[in-house]
Amino acid sequence: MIEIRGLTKSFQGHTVLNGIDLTIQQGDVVAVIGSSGAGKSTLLRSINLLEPADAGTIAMDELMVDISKRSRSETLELRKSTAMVFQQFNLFRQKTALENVMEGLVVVKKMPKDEARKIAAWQLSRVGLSDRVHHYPKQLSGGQQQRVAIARALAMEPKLLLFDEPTSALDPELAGEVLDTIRQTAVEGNTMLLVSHEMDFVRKVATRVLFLDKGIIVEDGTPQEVFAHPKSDRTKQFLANYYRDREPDFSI
Amino acid sequence: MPNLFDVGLVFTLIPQLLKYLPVTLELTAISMLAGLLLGLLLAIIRMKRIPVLVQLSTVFISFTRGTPILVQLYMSYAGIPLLLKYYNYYHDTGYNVNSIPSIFYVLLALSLNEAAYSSEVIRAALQSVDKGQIEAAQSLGMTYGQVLRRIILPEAFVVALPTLGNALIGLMKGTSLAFVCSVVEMTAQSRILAGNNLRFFESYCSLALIYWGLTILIERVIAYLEKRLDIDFRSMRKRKGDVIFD
Ligand SMILES: Nc1ncnc2c1ncn2[C@@H]1O[C@H](COP(=O)(O)OP(=O)(O)OP(=O)(O)O)[C@@H](O)[C@H]1O
Ligand SMILES: [Mg+2]
Repeated sequence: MIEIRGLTKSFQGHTVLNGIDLTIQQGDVVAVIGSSGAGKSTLLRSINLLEPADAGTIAMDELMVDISKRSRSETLELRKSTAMVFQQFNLFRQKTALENVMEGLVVVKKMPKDEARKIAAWQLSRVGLSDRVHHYPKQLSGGQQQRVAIARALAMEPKLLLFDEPTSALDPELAGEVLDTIRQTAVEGNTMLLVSHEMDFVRKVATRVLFLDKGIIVEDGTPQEVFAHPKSDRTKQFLANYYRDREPDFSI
Repeated sequence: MPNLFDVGLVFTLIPQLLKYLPVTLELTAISMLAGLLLGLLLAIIRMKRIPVLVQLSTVFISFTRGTPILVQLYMSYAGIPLLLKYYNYYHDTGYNVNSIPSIFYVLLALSLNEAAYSSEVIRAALQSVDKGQIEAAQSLGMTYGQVLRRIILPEAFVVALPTLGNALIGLMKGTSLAFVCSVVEMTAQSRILAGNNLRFFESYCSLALIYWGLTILIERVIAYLEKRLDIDFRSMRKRKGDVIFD
């Protein structure tokens, strides 16, 4: 179980996270939606301390970290318990797909190379890249790169997977293959926190949807509740704007 | 026409000069390694803006770039013995200045010089590594040292390699000044040989040929390294089953 309490963060006096409380149960697939600048990325990045919050606590099972008093080892522990998939993939350019996935296993988990190689090969086969293990990032399409990034994250067996708009840097054709991979990851029971602008996808895979606005969670419920019966006006407005801008390619 | 220039002698002198090639290579290799390590340290100090150290390193780099290497060699040769004498005086020790091999003064001056110049190259290369990869490594739970060694340095090395190759060539040629600290390497030996047979020009021609050859050799090695580091080349090798840079 993951418990986030009172997460607060401001940039130059501008409050981006305003006392976020969030409890995530094991196996939850939590989608975070909200307009640009709402603080979605900041929320994810404060959970793995890439962007440490000013105040708040994060607990994952036995590990409990008070952000403002965190030690170096707590920072590392929290990062080891989570894994992140970035919008821009962020693969290691000097390493092959296989080496990208092996890196955390060997360096952070201190796993023998042979064992790490086996796990990495298996994870890459699961995202459909068995024939690309010795390719370097620049030799892969964006969709393939993002699937390597997902394999890299999954290989670490994190307690929480963080996805920050994993498909928004991709062409629609390539986004599909990545969304399929994420869906598979969700179905397998991984605990996930996912920022996405793909509402149809969110609707299908999320077990829970949060609507973040000005650093506050203003809506929290099942996809059905949030999409069909939003409580707040901000959510209604956001969804209306969203659907006005695109063809409705689904029906409720 | 008198025999003013003896072409044959140019070639017979080469082997005699090559006896001192190991000294030249030793000076080059050690100064380069020490210079790179210290240069990396300086680069990190400046990037992380570590107080006091960052001011000291700025002054050091400015001084080293602002003075001729020949003067730095003179200063090392004359200054280190002085420091040792002061140390002996205040700590009541009896270290002997003559027990310091003269090659030490050269290594010190060349390493510091190389560090000052390479620190800027290294800093630029380190900063060229995109933040995304660093964040990805951090998010896996790597420490700063691990991120530096596993992600930043390998990438920065590829960026800096051509410039560092030129620095290596410059350094190799710079070792020819070692004679001012009474170290006999190839240049000093060419002067000794010329002093004996008074064939100065032939001696210097031999010397020049050797340096030229060495430079071409280093250029080749750097070009070869660049090729091996090329992504497409590495990928091809790995697909064939060779394990390189694993
Ligand atoms: N490092 C930073 N320095 C200063 N301001 C920042 C920084 N990171 C984010 N912000 C600001 O914080 C606010 C929230 O940013 P954040 O990236 O979390 O939004 P987001 O919800 O992810 O938006 P988007 O949908 O555009 O990705 C924005 O106003 C942004 O300008
Ligand atoms: Mg964002």
